[in-house]
Amino acid sequence: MHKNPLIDLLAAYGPSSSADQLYDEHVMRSTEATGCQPIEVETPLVSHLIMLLQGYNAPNIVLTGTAGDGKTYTCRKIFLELGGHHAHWHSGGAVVELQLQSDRRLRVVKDLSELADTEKDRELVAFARETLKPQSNLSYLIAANDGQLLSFFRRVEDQNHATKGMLDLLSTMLKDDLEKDPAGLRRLQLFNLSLQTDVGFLNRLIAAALDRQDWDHCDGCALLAADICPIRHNRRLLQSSDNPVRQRLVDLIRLLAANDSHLPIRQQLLLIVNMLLADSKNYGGLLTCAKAHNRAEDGDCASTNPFDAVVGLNLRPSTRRQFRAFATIEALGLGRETNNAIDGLIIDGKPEHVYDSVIRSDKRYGHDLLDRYRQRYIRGAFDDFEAEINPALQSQRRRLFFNMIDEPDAAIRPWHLTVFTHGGDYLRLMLDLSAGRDQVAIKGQLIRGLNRSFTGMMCRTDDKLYLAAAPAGLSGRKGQLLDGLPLPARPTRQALYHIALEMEPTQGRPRFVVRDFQNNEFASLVIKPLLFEYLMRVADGALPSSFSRQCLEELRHFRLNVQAAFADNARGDIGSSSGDRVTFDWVRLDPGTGALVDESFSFAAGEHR
Amino acid sequence: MTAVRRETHRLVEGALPVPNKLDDGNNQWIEEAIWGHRFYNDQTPWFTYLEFLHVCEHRRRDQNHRSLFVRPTEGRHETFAYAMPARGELRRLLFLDERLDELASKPLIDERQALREWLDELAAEDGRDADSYAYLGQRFSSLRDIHTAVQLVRSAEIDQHRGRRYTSRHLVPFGPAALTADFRPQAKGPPSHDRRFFARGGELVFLMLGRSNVSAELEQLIEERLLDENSRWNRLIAALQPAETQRPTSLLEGGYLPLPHHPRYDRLAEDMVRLLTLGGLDSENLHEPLVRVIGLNVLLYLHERSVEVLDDEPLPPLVLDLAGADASALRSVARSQYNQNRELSARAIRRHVERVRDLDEWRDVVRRPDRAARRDFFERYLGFKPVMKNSSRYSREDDAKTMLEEICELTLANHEQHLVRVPGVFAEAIGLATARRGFGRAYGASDALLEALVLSQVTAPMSFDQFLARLYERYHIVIGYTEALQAFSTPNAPQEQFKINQRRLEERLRSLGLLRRLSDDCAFVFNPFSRAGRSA
Repeated sequence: MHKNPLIDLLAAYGPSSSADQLYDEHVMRSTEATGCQPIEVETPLVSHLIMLLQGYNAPNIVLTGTAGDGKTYTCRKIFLELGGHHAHWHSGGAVVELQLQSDRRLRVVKDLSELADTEKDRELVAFARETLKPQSNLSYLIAANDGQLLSFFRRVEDQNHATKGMLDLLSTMLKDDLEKDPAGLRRLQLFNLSLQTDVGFLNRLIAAALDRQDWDHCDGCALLAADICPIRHNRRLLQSSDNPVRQRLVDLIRLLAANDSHLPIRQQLLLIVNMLLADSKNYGGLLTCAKAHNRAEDGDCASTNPFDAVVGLNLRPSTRRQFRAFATIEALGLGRETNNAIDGLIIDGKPEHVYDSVIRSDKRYGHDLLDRYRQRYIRGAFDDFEAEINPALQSQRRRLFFNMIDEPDAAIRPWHLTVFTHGGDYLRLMLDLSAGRDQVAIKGQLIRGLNRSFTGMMCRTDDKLYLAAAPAGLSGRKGQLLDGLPLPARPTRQALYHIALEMEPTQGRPRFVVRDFQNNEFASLVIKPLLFEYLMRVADGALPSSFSRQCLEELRHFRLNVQAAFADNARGDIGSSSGDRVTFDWVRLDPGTGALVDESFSFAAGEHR
Repeated sequence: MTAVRRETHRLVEGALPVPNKLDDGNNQWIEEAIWGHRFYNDQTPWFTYLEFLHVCEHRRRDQNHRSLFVRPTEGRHETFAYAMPARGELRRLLFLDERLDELASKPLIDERQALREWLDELAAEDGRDADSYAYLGQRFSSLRDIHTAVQLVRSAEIDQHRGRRYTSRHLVPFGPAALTADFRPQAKGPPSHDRRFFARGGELVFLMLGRSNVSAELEQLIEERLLDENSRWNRLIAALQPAETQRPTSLLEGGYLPLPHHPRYDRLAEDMVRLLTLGGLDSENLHEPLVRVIGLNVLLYLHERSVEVLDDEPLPPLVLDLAGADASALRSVARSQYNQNRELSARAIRRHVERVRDLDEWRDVVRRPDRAARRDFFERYLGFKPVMKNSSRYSREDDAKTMLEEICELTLANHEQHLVRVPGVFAEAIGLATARRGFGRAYGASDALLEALVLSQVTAPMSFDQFLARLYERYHIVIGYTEALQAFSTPNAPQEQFKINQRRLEERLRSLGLLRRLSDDCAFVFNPFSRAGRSA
């Protein structure tokens, strides 16, 4: 029976329970056993860091991020690219040093957690000292988990002059995603690998697994000849640009990252492998070539369904729980979320032309997997809906999510199958803003959502932002008092300030920014997917209080920040120079037009005792 | 000579002598010796804050003082006096008059005429000259503008739905013009100050802060942030009142706070300084967190004094129940801690009273049949002066021990009605405790309290573990297992429940926009308002 050794290598990156602990060794052993090269992906970060380290007065660099995001891996790549040897890297202990040109040295701490306490003390204090030197021949490159770094510097905060202030600095840099010391005192650059927004990365990762030469080893296999291999079929699904599957997967991961649910690289790869080699028969987990032969002979498509594997259904629940990728994706409601139109399609098969093009067209995972359950449901021929019918419906919903094209005006959009029903719009907004295109319609809806949230009134206004509040922010009261005039969505001649919708500089998410006529920035509100969803739903007519507390708090903080920024700028807070009339701005709703109307009253306020 | 000796005997160790015959009206001096004169259960944290601001504002306006706080002198208790403006016109407009609402709700043929008539009505109802309210017509352009202004200011009332008399309704203290006295309405004469809601708690906070380690910094911040006459709100509220002074209450003398120094004074002052230096929050939005921080520190002061009198047994830690039914053993601990703390003050009173038995004089008093000597003894050591209706009983009493017991019972009976309730009233007002039917009261934390804690404790981003440690170190608050191990030799709830409790806190802080988790090992609590920009 024909076998492709690549399959075993890929499986090493998958969700086997042993893999998590000794990941690197596991992969290493597999590459040796199979003779295949490990999966490697270029990141622009590596090139960037090499450039930094080779430059004049190279900084000290800290790589941080969640386990599985490649901190140590990145250090190794840099080490090798700068002339270090494999043998040196592996034998050198937890810290290795490399001689660079012109008397320069690079000291690499491969993984801070591997150092004994005394070693840690020595290296990190030396590192702290280095960061204070305006010039040096030595650069540090440290791979460290953020928690450990902070707890170390908390411990030694007052021990010597070099370490004092490191804790606060690192905390601020980590929390605000800063690359350098904002005060410019320390020569240090911090890169959080979990936050790198390399848009093409996941595509390159998929390509690294699915496009490689080793797939040629399948040649000569009977399954390949007959085109009935489940692995080759899943590979096509994930690889092809004819269907939306790959792009949808990339979008999914991107949206999750924007919502602060970043999946480390290791988890992303695990997901890809799990979908590729899905085998749910007897909780088998992953296919081998042998198992693939069996499934093909049995004509068993249900077991190799990648759209069940995307939430880990091919694994035992206890195994599934070990890998956060599945819970994260499951939390989006994939399979559970739906609406009448979608279920009308899945259950009743209407409209028929859509059913044909979207469900019947998939010969493996579409109509054939669905039909008998659909019929039983319609006929009522079942006892336990949850156990007998629902899994098939959920499976099909997940499949639809990955396979439907997203058109803004369509009746059914794939993101309706998740809790982020406006996910498609969010991604389009990110794309447009990055390309410098103005997204007037979405911006208007967001502003309408904001206005409704702040004023508590069902208004239609979408071209000006009204930051209304109750006086003194007294808890639980709705407000109509404005902290100054409304902010127009475009800069105008009359208004001192306006509100712009832009891309965030660090993490590539959309944000609102309050700017003045000279384009100075006053306050900003990052729009993560959750807040976007909230505002869009409110703009559509949902009542604000029926949604997430977190969103309301983010809005409140934004309003308070704007208020404070304006007060600093002595605008709206009358009383300084010009005369003694005081103006109060407030807002009311015109019931006829649904527009918010700003009104003001003023009074004479002389000296009072 | 004798007077001085009388003084020191009544007091706890290290306490300052009582100034100015402040105790003349008291028929015992036991609670006051321990905690001060006085805190009172009808005075909520908000009212404590208002009274405190009244004292500050009076001193600010009074040109005789160079500083807001009274500088303490060694060995002597501070004396100060202050008055509170009644602001009758303002209150009439906001809380009594109904005509304005009527007029504004319908189309008026002649608005100026309607305005003039209404102003005359107001003056008439107030029993004053016809043009007493004319200033409104001069300052505002129309009747409708006045109405909008009144509505706006009304919406800033504290504790809106209590149905209080109009002379006990107060506004958020946007500035000096918003501070109003609390008095019983009467036809003639200066308003008679009602010591029910302004019961001296604010005076004691004033003393605490004046004795704290950051008083100089704090008073500058208070003046700048809380007593700014030029803020737009203050000018609005001032515009609704006539220019002359507002028939103040008579001068009131400040209260008594026994200890010249106490760590809790410093904690309170530091917390307030941190809040007042927040650059990202306008002054308007500082009042709520300030009130909570004052409430928390005062209730801890009350408990800490109790354990100090009880010879420093440890203060029962405040275990906060955030997980509810998911951590039922922990929830029971939160309740039992609340109850233990509630019992402290009564035990402290008993201990204080019974300490007289350790005095050498006690043996004499017990043995000798001299009733006058006995009464003198109790007055000297406990400030006890028998009230008329009881005096017959005590004058008959031959037994010193029984007398001692009865004094204790009398004090405790009064204590149960008033001071013992203060920590509970405060805890509920600030969101530190909840009462659940069938379960009783237990410690917890409302969202507003959590926010106040973060705002007052966090400047640079702080790791979550550090935040928990900080809460324990400063406030005896226990949420997670690490602190539980420090607080108890054996915690009465399993580790797992403390972990759930801690996770709940994290979720709540995150949904309040105050926490960000970076990785499995690292979560930050941060203060979104701590922009650099304001400094003392």
